[in-house]
Amino acid sequence: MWLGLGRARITILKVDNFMVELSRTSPLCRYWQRGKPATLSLGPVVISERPFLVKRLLRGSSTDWQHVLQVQLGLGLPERNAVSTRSGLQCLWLRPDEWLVIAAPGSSRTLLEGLALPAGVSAPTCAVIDVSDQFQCVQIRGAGAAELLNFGCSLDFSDHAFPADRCCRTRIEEIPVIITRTEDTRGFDVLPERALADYLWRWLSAAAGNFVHQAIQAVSEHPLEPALEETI
Amino acid sequence: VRRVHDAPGIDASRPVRFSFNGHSYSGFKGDTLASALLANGVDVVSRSLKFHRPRGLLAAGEEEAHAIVALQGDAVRAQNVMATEVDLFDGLSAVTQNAWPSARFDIGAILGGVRSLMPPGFYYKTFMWPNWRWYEPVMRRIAGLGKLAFAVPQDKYAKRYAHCETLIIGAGPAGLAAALSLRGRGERIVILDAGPELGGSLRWERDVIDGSPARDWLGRAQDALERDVHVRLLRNTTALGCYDGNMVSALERFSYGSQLRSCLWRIRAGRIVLATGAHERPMVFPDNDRPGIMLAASVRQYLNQYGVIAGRRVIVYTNNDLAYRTALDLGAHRGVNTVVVDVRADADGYWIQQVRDAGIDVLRGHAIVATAGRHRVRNVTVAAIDRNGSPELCDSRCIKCDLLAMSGGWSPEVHLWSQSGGSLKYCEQRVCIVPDQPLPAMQCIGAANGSFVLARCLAEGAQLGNGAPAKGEVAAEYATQPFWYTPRVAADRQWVDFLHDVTLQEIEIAVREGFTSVEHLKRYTTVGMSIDQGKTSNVNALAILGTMTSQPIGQVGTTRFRPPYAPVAIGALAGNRVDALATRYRRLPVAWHETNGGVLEDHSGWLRPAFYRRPGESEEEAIRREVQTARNAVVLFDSSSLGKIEVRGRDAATLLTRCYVNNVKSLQVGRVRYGLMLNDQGVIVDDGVFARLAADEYIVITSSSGALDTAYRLEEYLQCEWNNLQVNLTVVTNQWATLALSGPQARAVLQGCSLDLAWASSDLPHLHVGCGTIEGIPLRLFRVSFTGETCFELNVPADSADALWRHLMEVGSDRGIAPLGMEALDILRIEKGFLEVGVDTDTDTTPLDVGWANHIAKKSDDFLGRRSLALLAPRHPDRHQLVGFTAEDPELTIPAGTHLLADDGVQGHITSSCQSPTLGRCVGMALVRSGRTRLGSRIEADIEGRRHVVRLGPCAHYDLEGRQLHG
Repeated sequence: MWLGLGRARITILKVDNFMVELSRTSPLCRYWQRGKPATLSLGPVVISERPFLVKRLLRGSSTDWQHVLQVQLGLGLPERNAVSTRSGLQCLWLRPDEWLVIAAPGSSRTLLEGLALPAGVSAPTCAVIDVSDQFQCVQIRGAGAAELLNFGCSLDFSDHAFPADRCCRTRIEEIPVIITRTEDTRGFDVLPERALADYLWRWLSAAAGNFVHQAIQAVSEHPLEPALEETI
Repeated sequence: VRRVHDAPGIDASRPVRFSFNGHSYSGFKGDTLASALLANGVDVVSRSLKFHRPRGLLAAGEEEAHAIVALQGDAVRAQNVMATEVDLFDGLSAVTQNAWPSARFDIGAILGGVRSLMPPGFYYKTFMWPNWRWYEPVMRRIAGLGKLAFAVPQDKYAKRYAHCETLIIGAGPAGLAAALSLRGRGERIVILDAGPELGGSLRWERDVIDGSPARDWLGRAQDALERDVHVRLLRNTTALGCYDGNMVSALERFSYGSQLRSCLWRIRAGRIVLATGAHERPMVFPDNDRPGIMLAASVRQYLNQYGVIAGRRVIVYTNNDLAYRTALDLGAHRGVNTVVVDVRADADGYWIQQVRDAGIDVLRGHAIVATAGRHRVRNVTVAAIDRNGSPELCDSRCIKCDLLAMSGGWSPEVHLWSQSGGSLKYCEQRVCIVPDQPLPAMQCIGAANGSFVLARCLAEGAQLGNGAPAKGEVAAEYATQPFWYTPRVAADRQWVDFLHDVTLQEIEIAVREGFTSVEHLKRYTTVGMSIDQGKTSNVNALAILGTMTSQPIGQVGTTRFRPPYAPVAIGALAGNRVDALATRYRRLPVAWHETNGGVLEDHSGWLRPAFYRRPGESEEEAIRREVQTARNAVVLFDSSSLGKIEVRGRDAATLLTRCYVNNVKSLQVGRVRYGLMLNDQGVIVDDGVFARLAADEYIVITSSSGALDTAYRLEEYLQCEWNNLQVNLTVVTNQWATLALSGPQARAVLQGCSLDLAWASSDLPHLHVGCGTIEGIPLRLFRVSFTGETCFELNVPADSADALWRHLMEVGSDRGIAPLGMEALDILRIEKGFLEVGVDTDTDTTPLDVGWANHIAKKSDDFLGRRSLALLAPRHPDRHQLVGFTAEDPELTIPAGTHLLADDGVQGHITSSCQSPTLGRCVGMALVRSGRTRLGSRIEADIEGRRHVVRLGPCAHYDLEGRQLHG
């Protein structure tokens, strides 16, 4: 039974002298094992979930946000279709007036402070919107990572066409996703909307199953890393 | 002995057993089904589609038009497979598709005797009266191409995309030379070839490159390319079509031992090199379809690659030089007797000289005017021809034979070129259709470009990378002369399209009847319309058409080259989108449902619980129980699929005021309003609620099904019409889960939770919203209701929804809390008279029709659809208006969609209906002509021809004062 698994305890409150424990549940909780986030190693790929990341959408003009990000988070505002990164913090360009900031689980409060508009500044359209639960993050690593994406996505994920700081909004099969390189640039982070995370996971598992057939080989610019360890 | 055991294509030490039409045979590893059948002396492999003529093998490759078979067995099932493309494996079992009782003795062959009754277009002419449907089952049986079998369940299909700088299609001499000259620049090269090995004709032609056998060069080329990390070689892969932006789709077939059947590639290339080669054309002469009549190059391939000597007494019939190689290669084997019949009176040159030197007879200026042999060609009759190609029939003679190798010249494979928009021209000298004007990102080289000589193929390939070409020896020019059909002899027995049984006579009839366009000819006679898409017949057919209509062939044109180039299994197109992956469903954030009796169903793309089944309960009982629990105690409902759009910015209120019928500007912070959204025509397209969370911050909650459309509509108006508004829209449907706690006991349940928010009925009455926390979780608490009961809609971040749901179920357990499904919710809202857009409204329903005239009158600002509503038609008293109805008979159930009748015909129809557990009878809503003036009157409902009386009334049937709502 997966019930009761797939959760990370976040808060304990005292109510009327008895303890109530409420926890967060990943949309991929069905695939958690022994309290560990979903992960799947198949042939030349390792697919793993990155649950409970903190995500904020920034809306507004680039001039307003450029300053805030630089001064308060030391993060540059990325160019079109690009990502800016600074120690565990990523900012993704999504459209001319929309960026997605991704931070480690539990960093909600610091991020909120970091993204506050300076006192006295009131831009007419600037907004910070919590989308931590809007998107789920699935990481794909290993020699077959780009090929796995190419079972369902038409973009070119080679080093040349999809360099380290690239991000894009595209579709894997029928699933709208955001794709970036992982921070170490050797894998890919795929972000579907939460409700489609389960379908994406099952689709990726089925597609990765192609690698067990001899007929399908992964040709990669990156050899398989010896150990892929995920820490949440 | 029909085998030469040292052939390079087979491993004679590894025999393979297989069966064909129930008989057991054996072949060797490396054989195709076709080569093994030929080696076992199987003459008749199939029957033709229309006249059920016995047919043997014609070719050795993808152009095969006869040996189309079905594979049977536990592991492999496939229809319409070309025997030439099936690699032999142990236990293979193949059958002829279109014959009964057997391929050799087929009852359907009787049709051959009444051929004259089946002229072209006879389907259209003969089976019109009284109705085609009468004949269809019989015709399908006779003319069918196999019976559809469901695939083996464990069969898998893959699909993938790839990118490269250069895509080379065809790995024959030209393609390989191109790959060798282009590699080494760090650019990605993909080479695909339909054959199981690289090399194309180099695998079987006895060619010489750089002074040694071509196989040596092939081996070196293959090694070099296999070692190159930038080169991807795809064998058994057929390019199916070429699309915009140099996108090529290709099907990679895997051996039948693999669970993976095929991979559908979509390859985007910087440039494409077409080295697709050419196909040999058959000659058109009387009874040219008998078993034992094969294409000359294929005979050569069977001999040189598989070691199969297809006949002992061989006639090579040709109009060009290359077929002489067949005579030469066969002649090298002891006991094979060969005669060459050439229609050219003046044939001469390198190959002719070689053949003569080998002591082989050559009959120049002769044509074949008849053949004989029922299940295998036995003899042919040849006659000298005059300058116009007409045979001198009085001077004919008969030659015994058991194999006729024919060659009517070569046709470049220009499908992909044409699909990319490349123009074509007819080349008089080489008698074929070749690419004309150059294309910017596509090059055509080798035989596909009309270069049928090895040296030229290698040179054209090497030229692409400015490399020095390998030297292909025997640089004899290719010489040929058109000879499209045999005049003045049995036109009705000269086959042009073998698969569809189209003869010369049928083309004559079509031309006589005025079908002189190549596209008309194709459709009228069905020439080139079969599985092989006319690979062997198209050029002959259009040349014959040109001759008969006295047009130059270049002017006749070609039919469109449509993808796919080769048959593709449906499964290959579906990929892994089958079974559980077939439909992409969205899932709710609460995982509790599925392990607690929730029966999940598709509701506008979301899997949502229709109802929750308890042990021993029927569906109806469960739904009834849920409704009663909602009315008497408390229920919890997951409506997380509701669309949610954050609207922020200085002009947020302006945008919403323009897009909704309601007045938005007057909405106070912390208040919620129900609204309708219209299109330009004033028709209702969505409903929902919007809440003002702060001065410049709204959240719009749309219906589940309208979530995306509404977001797109708002975004479109914002970006395209009113881009001066300072607003931004963000869809947060997935961020917020919505758990609706509803019922008389809802407040009591919530009191058992820890809320950091003032939510007493005085602080947060109906249609208010408050922000705070519940059990430490961020909370937006909406006081809205779709059930008609007191309702708290708890919006919490989706990751916390499952835990909160479980918590509420636990806290509410002593209040009798139960989960509520979609079915029960539908009953609750119908009882309450809440309309559902798209169910109770249609593509013509305006807010005036649902009783919103007052809202509109009160609003001073402009909004979408306002002007349309001000026109006369929407205000006409005869319009269909939404009203409620109640069945007189408490036992009666009236389905939605039922028509309502009066003396002057249909007055409207029922839009929503339910058997109400609360009211004990069937109630619902209906769109009725002048409905609001008929409240209180009776009208008849027609249920399958029987009339039942219903009474019209207001939409709401329950708690008309709204006391429950405000509790």
